[in-house]
Amino acid sequence: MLSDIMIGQFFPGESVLHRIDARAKILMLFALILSIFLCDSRADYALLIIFNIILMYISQIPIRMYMKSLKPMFWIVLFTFIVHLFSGEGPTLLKVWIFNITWSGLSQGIFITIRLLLLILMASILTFTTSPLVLTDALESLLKPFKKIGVPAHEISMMMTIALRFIPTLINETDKIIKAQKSRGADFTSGNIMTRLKCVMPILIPLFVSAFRRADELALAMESRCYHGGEGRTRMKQMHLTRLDGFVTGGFIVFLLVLIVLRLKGM
Amino acid sequence: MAIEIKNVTYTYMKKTPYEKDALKNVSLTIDKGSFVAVAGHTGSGKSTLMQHLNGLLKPSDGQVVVDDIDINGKGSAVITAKRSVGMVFQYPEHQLFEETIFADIAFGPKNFGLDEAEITSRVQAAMEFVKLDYKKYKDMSPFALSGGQMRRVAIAGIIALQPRYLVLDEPTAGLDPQAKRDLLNNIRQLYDKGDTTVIMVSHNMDDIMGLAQRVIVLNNGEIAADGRPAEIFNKNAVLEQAGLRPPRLTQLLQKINDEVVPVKTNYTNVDAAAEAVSQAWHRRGKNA
Ligand SMILES: Nc1ncnc2c1ncn2[C@@H]1O[C@H](COP(=O)(O)OP(=O)(O)OP(=O)(O)O)[C@@H](O)[C@H]1O
Ligand SMILES: [Mg+2]
Repeated sequence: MLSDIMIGQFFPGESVLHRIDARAKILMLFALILSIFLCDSRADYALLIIFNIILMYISQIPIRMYMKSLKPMFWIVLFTFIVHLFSGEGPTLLKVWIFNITWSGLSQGIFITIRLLLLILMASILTFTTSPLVLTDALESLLKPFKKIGVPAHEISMMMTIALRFIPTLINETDKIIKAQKSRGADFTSGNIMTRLKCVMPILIPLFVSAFRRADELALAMESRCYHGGEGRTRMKQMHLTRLDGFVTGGFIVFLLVLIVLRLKGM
Repeated sequence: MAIEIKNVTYTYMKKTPYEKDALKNVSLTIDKGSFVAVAGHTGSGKSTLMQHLNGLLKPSDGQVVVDDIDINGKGSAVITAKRSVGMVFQYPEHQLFEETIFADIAFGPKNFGLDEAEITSRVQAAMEFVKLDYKKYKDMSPFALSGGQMRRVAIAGIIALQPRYLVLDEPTAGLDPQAKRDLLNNIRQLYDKGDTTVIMVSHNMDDIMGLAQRVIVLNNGEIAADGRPAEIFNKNAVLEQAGLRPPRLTQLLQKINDEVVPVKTNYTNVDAAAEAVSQAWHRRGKNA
């Protein structure tokens, strides 16, 4: 149910992935995502899948958690797969009503599915091994150079921190409100669309009221601690690059080079 | 007729690194017509236990039986059994949502499928119960009220369901002393009418004293003590382990007993205690 939502979920640990500098991790994720979109041969995909599995293994987080992170995306992935399945060209493999399934459609569909799954898994590896606070700090630090051209780096990262911080709170709150309304005999599972929509109001209204109340309280609390934006603010936890970051980034560059070479050879 | 909790274990976030046993093999029977207080330190599992009583949480292991019906089973009897348990959550005012106070209190009875006339009379009675003037407040928005008044509206929303078992999870948390006294008096009056079994969660032993006939102390998901208030209040070691303190009256009597004159420490009524202390004092004067 609600507790299955894994967005921004972090599992503390001591693995290599946990210890790498978050900035390095974000950049590597970025490069990996790019490489997913560059791939187009079977060898590329195989390499990426293997690399992904190795990363998941190194993270020391149960594979079950990764599977769980895929769950909410299931319908989107299935939908994309089906769209691609029916939109290929070439000789027909199977005819369903007025639609044709072709070899090219099938392989497209499979590749797209793999791409999506890899994307989600890689993002999960990052969020599972990095605490949200560190993640947003790293983002701020990475965005700093862009401040010159007017990107509000600190504000963006503060907004993300607050959003991430309140996801579990809001989930808990929703859970509690649902339970409270159920105790008053509300039924959220039967009836037609109109009655079900009506059923949402007893949840949404208290949720909004409490979200606004919390926002208000938070703003007050920040103000009373003299928060006035990023200028001149220091951090309790400074980020430092270590030897480990060097090694890992080095290894990663080698992996990317292999991918590029494979791709050049393929052409 | 009773609520029976049989070997209930409940695990939050099962199969994740955050797995947490909030209840560990808890068994207990709440007899019909009793007034039971559940006490415990924060995080001891009180709310978790309460949510099992009307089936909001399904035990990971074990059974919850209300009036001889397993409420995690199937069938229409199960719904009736669940509905006989009314649940007032911690900070119940956070669940208000309707445009008017009347509509909010009527939400539950409406869901139970009662007819208009019955709903109106129940809302009226429930508002009277929590001392909110029906005429004055029925058309007001619940969001225009003070926190304490909102709490009363929320409680009225459950009272209007006329539950046989009324569960209150820290009903007095965050109320001022006057509002707290009023609410506890209301609950006592409801109990005294005799149709309702009350189960009340509280960490405040002073609130429990003089109300409950039975106190259950939870510690870390297990029952640490279960018995009559006078008995439990004097188990200082157990209470301390569970992160609780005896009521102030018991603390005072214990101090008098230890340092001044021998006196029984198991009074739960201030007047009776004062009488006993004064007699003990006079006896001492005569003997000396
Ligand atoms: N939704 C949840 N997800 C995960 N763990 C939870 C959840 N709700 C409660 N817990 C954990 O279960 C344990 C018991 O919680 P519970 O809410 O029953 O305590 P409580 O006795 O009601 O405390 P309080 O006096 O603070 O209300 C706590 O350790 C808590 O961290
Ligand atoms: Mg609680």
